[in-house]
Amino acid sequence: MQREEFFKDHDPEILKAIEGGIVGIAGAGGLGSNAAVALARAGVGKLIIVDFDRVSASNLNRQYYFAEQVGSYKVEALKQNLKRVNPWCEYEIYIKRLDPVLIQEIYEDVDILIEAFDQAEAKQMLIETWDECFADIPLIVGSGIGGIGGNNKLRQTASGNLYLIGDGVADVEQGFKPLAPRVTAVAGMQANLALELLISKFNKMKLNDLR
Amino acid sequence: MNNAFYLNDRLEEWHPGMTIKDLIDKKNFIFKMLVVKIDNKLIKKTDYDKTLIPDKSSVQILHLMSGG
Repeated sequence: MQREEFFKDHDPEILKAIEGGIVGIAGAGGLGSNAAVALARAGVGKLIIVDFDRVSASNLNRQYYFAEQVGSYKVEALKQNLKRVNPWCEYEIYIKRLDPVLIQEIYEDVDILIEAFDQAEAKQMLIETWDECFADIPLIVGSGIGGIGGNNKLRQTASGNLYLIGDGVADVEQGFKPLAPRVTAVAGMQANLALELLISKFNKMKLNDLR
Repeated sequence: MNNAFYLNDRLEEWHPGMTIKDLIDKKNFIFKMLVVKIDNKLIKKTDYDKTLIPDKSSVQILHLMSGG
């Protein structure tokens, strides 16, 4: 398989806009692993993925891993899977638990960050750190992904460069267990918004070049 | 519009000295993690009790749910 064959069905203009893009993904669980696969298929130039955890059997009901990967570090297993999907993009991985210092170091060069943590506390830490250090870079947070059904409740709420995606209600700690259909729907919405923002950033740059 | 502010695009009565924490308690935002912005500026969780809501401001409070 050649690179040209892989991208044959892509819109060449859109591919141009995203093949130089860098998207950070904070967490490689249900949201992070599925968003990463969607962005790799779409052809985003580089993904920077961070997670400290290993794949467990109970992750397989919603996360993009396979049974034989149980026990592996998530980011290592995910990189293998992404390379099998699209070997032409770059995947930078870190086995680390993100804190404010690491967030600043690792995600300095991204065009967009997708937040894919599990705990609300970690989401809040990331949002506050991002606001202090990279307020100009879009941050796409998942919030309210548990449960079943409620398709029409999944939505995107924007506040400046901060975007929240989910139903804003189904808290996993309140007993809304996460399952693949709804988690992958939210991950897909995060990836979809990331593409949209990458393309609009590219077009703005192009406009500036023409001036 | 006198002595009023917006909370999530809805008009609310404003009182002098009202903090973000007062608003969270009054409006019963039950989840422990929130995104709070005043006129699009993020307010840190540690500052909720000392941040006054300005008259005629626009406050946004969103729930942050666990799960990823």
